[in-house]
Amino acid sequence: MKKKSISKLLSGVLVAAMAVGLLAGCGGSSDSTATDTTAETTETTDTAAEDTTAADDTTAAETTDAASGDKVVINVTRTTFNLATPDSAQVQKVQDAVNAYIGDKINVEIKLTDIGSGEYTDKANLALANNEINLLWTASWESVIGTNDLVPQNAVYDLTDLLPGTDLYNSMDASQWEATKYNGKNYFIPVYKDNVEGYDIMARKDLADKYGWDMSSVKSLKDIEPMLEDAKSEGLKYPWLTQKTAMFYRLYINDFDFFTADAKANWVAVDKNTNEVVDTILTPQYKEFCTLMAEWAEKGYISEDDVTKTTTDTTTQTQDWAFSWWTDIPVNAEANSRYNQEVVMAPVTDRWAHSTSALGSCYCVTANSTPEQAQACIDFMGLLYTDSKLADLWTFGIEGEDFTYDENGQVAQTSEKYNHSMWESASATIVTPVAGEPADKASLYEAFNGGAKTSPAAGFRFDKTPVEAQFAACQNVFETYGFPLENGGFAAADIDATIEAYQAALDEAGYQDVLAEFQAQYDAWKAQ
Amino acid sequence: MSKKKGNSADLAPSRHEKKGFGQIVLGFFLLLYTLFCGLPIVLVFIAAFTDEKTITKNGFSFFPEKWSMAGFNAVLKYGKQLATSYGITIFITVFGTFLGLLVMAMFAYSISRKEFRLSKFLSVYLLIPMLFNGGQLSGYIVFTSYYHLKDSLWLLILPLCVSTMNVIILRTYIVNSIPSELMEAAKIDGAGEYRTFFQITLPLLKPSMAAVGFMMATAYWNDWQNALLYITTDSKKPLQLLLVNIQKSIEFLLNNSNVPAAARAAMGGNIPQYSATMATVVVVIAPIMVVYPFFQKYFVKGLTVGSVKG
Amino acid sequence: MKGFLENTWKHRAHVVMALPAFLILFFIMYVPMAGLVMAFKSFDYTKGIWASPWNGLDNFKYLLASKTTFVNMTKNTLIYYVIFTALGTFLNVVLAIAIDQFMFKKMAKTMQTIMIIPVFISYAAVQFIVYAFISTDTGILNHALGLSTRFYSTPSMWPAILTIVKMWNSVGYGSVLYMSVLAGIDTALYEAAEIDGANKWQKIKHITIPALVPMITVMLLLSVGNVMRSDTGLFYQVTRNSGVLYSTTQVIDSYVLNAIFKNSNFGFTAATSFFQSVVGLLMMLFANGMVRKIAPENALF
Repeated sequence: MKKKSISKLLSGVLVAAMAVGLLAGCGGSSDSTATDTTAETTETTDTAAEDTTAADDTTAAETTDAASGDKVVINVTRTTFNLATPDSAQVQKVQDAVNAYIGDKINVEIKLTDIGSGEYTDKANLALANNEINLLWTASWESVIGTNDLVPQNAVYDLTDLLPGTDLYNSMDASQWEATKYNGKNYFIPVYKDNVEGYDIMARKDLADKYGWDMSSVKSLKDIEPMLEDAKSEGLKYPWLTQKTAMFYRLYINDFDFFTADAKANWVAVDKNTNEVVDTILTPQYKEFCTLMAEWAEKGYISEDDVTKTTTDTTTQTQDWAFSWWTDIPVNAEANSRYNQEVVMAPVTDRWAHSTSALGSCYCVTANSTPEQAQACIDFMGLLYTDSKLADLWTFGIEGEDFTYDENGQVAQTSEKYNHSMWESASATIVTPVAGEPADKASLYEAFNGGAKTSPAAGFRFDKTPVEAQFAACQNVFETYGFPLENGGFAAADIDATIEAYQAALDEAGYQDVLAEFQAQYDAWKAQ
Repeated sequence: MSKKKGNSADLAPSRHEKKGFGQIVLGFFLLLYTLFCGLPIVLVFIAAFTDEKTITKNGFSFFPEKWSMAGFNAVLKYGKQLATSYGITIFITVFGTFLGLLVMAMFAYSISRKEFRLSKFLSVYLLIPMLFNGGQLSGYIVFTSYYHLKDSLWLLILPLCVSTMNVIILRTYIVNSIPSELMEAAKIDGAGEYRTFFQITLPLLKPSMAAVGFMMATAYWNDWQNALLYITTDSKKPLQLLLVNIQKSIEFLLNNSNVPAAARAAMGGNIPQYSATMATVVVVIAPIMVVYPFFQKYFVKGLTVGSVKG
Repeated sequence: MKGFLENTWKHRAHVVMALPAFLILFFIMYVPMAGLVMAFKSFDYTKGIWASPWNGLDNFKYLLASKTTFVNMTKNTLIYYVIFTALGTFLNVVLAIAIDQFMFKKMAKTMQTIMIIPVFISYAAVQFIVYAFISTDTGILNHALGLSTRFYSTPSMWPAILTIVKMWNSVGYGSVLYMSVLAGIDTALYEAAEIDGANKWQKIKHITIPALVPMITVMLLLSVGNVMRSDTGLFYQVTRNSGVLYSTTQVIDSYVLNAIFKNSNFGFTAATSFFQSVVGLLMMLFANGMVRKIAPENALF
C-alpha cells in the first residue's frame, strides 16, 4: 500500500508542480516589454471575449493612467543588421543611458528592444499584433512588416496632425514628409539618407585597367558587350553576374515606375512616358531586355548558376566575375571595402524619387498607442534627429564601451554587443560619420538626393487587398517564368514564345483583375 | 525475474554456423548505407575548416586547397553565449524528456485499459491537436498575455512535452508487446493500479520509452522556433536559436539587396558564409555522437525475456 | 450514464494518471486552438483576433487564385507524401531488421550512431551539401562520373533528388522506433521456431514482421493526418526556391512560405492550415475506418 500512495502522491505532485510552474512563469516576465507600466489601453486584447477598441476610441479616463505625473513610457523596437544577436545586458545599458540623457529634456522614458535581423520580422510582427510596441523601425522592403503591409491592416498611427511645428518636422525638408505620405497622411518618420534610386553597372578595376575598358562611355547594358567578350576570354565563370537578381525591375526605371516596390511583381508598372499603368511584360523594352539576357547566356556571359539561384553569395568578393550591378549611393567607394577589391561604376539609369524611395528606413508609431504615447514618440524622435549626442548614443552605443571618437572626431566602432549603422538609426545629418567616411557626408547626401527626378507616380499608394489572392498567384508565376527570362534561362529564339506563355500563365492566375484594379486606383489618384 | 541478454552463445548452435556468407552480404549493405550517411557528415566537418574563398572557387571538397579557422571563429565569436546556450539546451532536453516520458507513459497506460470507458474520449482528445493548430499568433497571444509566460523556460519545455504520436506509440507498445497476463497476474496478487503501472508496466516499457525518449530529445535539441518567439533574455537562449541567428544574419546580409552597403561593410567584408554554416552544424552534432550510445543499450533484444517466466 | 460514472470512479486511478498530459494538452494546444477563427477573418491590428471582421471564405481564395498552380502544388504534395511514406516506412523497417540481424553488435552500434546523425543537420546546411554533390561544375557527382549534368536546371530529376535527401535525413532516425519494437519480441518465440527447424527468412516472415505490423499500421495512420503538410526546409531551401523547378518541387507549404514572405497575412496562413487540417482529418477517418474493418486492434480509435 505504501507504494500505491507514493505513486499517487507523485502524480498529484506533478500536477501541482505544473500549476505552480505556470504561476511562477509570471515572475519570468519581469523585464517584459509587455506593458505592465504602460496604459491598460495597450493591452486591449487581453481577455478572450472582450472587443478591442480602435485607437481613436480612447477616453480621457484611460489616458490619465499613462501620464500620471510620471514620464510617458514608450516601447521601442528596432533591429540590428551588424550582429547576429545584440547583447541584452548592453542594450539595457544603452536604454538606461538614453533615459538618463533625455530625462531632463522631454517627459519620456523608453523601453528598448533590440532584435537580431534574422529574428526581427517574426518577433516584431507578433509583438505588434499583441500590442507590445509603440515605436517600431521598419522599411518599405521589409517582409511581413513592411510599410505596404502595415497601412492596409491598420497597424500604424496617423501622425499628420501631430507633426507640424515640431522639432522632428523641421529637422528634414518638407519634401521628405510629402514623399512618405500614404493616402495624404503621414504614418512614417523617414530616416534621412540616400532616398532616391539609381543603378550602376559595376566592373572590376583590375580587369578594366587590363583591357582598357572605358567605363565613362557606358550608358546602357548593350555598351558593355564587347567588354564581356574580353571577360569571357579571361576564362571567368561570371562575366555578367546578376547576383541571382531579376534586373528588369532595376535597370528600366527610366521608363517605368515599379510602384509595387517588389521585384516579384514587376509585371505591372506606370509607364513614365504615358503616365498609365501598363502590363510591362508586353512592352518592347521587356522583350529587348530578355532577348539580350538570352543572347548573353548563349554566349556564355551569364552563368546558369544565376538562373538556378545557386550562385554563391560571396562570389562578389572573389575574382570570378567581371561585371555586375550596384545601387547608387552618395559614397560609391564603399563598394571597394564591401567587395574586397577595387571596382568602378558607370550609372545606367537616372536618379529617381519613387513612392517608396524615401521609405528605405523609417520609424512608425503603432495604431494601438495612446495619444500621449504618440506624442511621446514624436518628442523622442525630434530629440533624436536634432541632438547629435543622443543620435550617436542611439546608433553606436555607450562611448568608451561600444565606440570611441578618433582624432578626427569620427567614430570607431568595434562593439559586438550593441552595433548599429546610421541608415537604420537616425538622419545622416545628425549622426557622426564613421572613420573612413568623408567628413562632409551629410552634404553629400543632400547633393545626392537633390539631383533626382521625381516620378509622375511618386506618392501613389496602391492597395492590393481587393486582389490579394491573384497578386500572390502572379508573384508565383514570376518565379517560374519571369525570373529565368530575366537571367538568360531561355534560348534567344524562344523568347517570343516564352513571353506569350508567361502572359498566359499570368492571366490564368488572375492578372487581368490585378491590372484593372491598379489602373482604376491610379486613375482615381491622378484625378485628385 | 532474471534478465537474459540476447547472446549468440545462448542460442542454438545452428546459428553459429550461419554466421557466414549472409552476414557478410548484410554487413556490406549496412556499410554502404553507413557511408551514404557518413560521407556528407565528413564533408561538413572538413568544410567547417576550409577557407571560404576556396569553397567559392572550387566548391566543397574532401581535400581542400586551403584550411582556415574563419568559419569557426565566426561562431566562436559568441563563445560565452555558446556555453550558456549549451547548458540551456541540455537542461531543457533532459528535463523535458523525462517529464514528457512520465506524463505520456501514464496517459498511454490509461487509455490502453480496455475496460476504461473514458479511454475512447481521451484517444480522440489526444488526436485532435495533432491535426488542428490554432496558429502562431493565437499561441503567442495566449502564452504571453494570458499565461504571462513570456521569456519563461516552460515555453520551451511544455509545447514539446506531450505529442500525440509519441503517446500513440507508447500505447501501441503497451497493447502489443506487454502481455496483459502479467498485469492480470499482478491484479490477482492484489496490486493497485499505480503499483501495476510503476512496477510491472514501466520496466517492460523501457525499449519503447527509449525510442520515444530519443525522438523527444531530438525534437528538443533541434527546436528553435519556440525560443525565437518567446525568449528575450540571452541567458535563456538555446543552442539552435543562436546558431540559426548566426546563419540567418549572414544570409540576410549577403542576399538582401535592400540592405545598404554600409551595413555589409560594417561586417568587415569577409563574411564566411559556407564555412560558418558548417561550423554551426559541427557545434550541434558533436554532442549527439557522444550521447547516443547511451540510448542504444535499451534496444538490446531479450531485455524482457524471463519476465513472463518470472 | 450512471454506468459511465461508475466506470470512471472505478478507474479513478487511471483518470489521475491521465490528468497531467490532459492538462498540458489543454493549456498548450486546446486554448490557442481558438485561433482557427483567423482562417475566416481579415486581421486588423487595432482589433486583434476577436474583433477583426469576418470575411467568409476569402482567405481560401489565396490557394485557388491560379488553378494550375493549385493543381500542381497539391499533386506534388500528394505524390511526395506517398513516396516518402511508402519508401520511408519500408526502408525504416528493413534497416531495423537488418541491424537487428547483424551479429557483430559493436559494429552495428557504431554504424547506427552514424546513421542517426543526418537528422540533426539543419536544412540550411543540407542545401549546401546537396549543392556540393550536384552542382554542375564543381559537384562531386559530376566530377566522379565525368559528366556535366545540369541538375539544377532539370525539373524531372528532382523527385529523385529530394527523395534521396529525405531518406538520407530520416531513415536512420526512423528505424530507431522499429528497433525498439524488435527489442520487445520475446526471444522464446525465436527459440521455439528454431527448434521447429525454421530458417532465418521464415523466422523474419512469421515472427519479426507480424510483431512490427501494429506499429507500422499505427505510424501510417498517424502520418495520414499530415498528408497535406510538407517539410519546408526540404522543398524551399534545398531547391533554392528556384522557379525553374517549381513544376516538380512546389508544394503547398512552400507556396505559402513564398506568399507570406512579402504579404503579411495571418488570415492566409490560418486558412491554409485549416485546409490542410481538414483534409488530414478526412483522410485519417477514412484510413482508420478501413483498418478497423481489416484489423480492428490496430486502429487508432
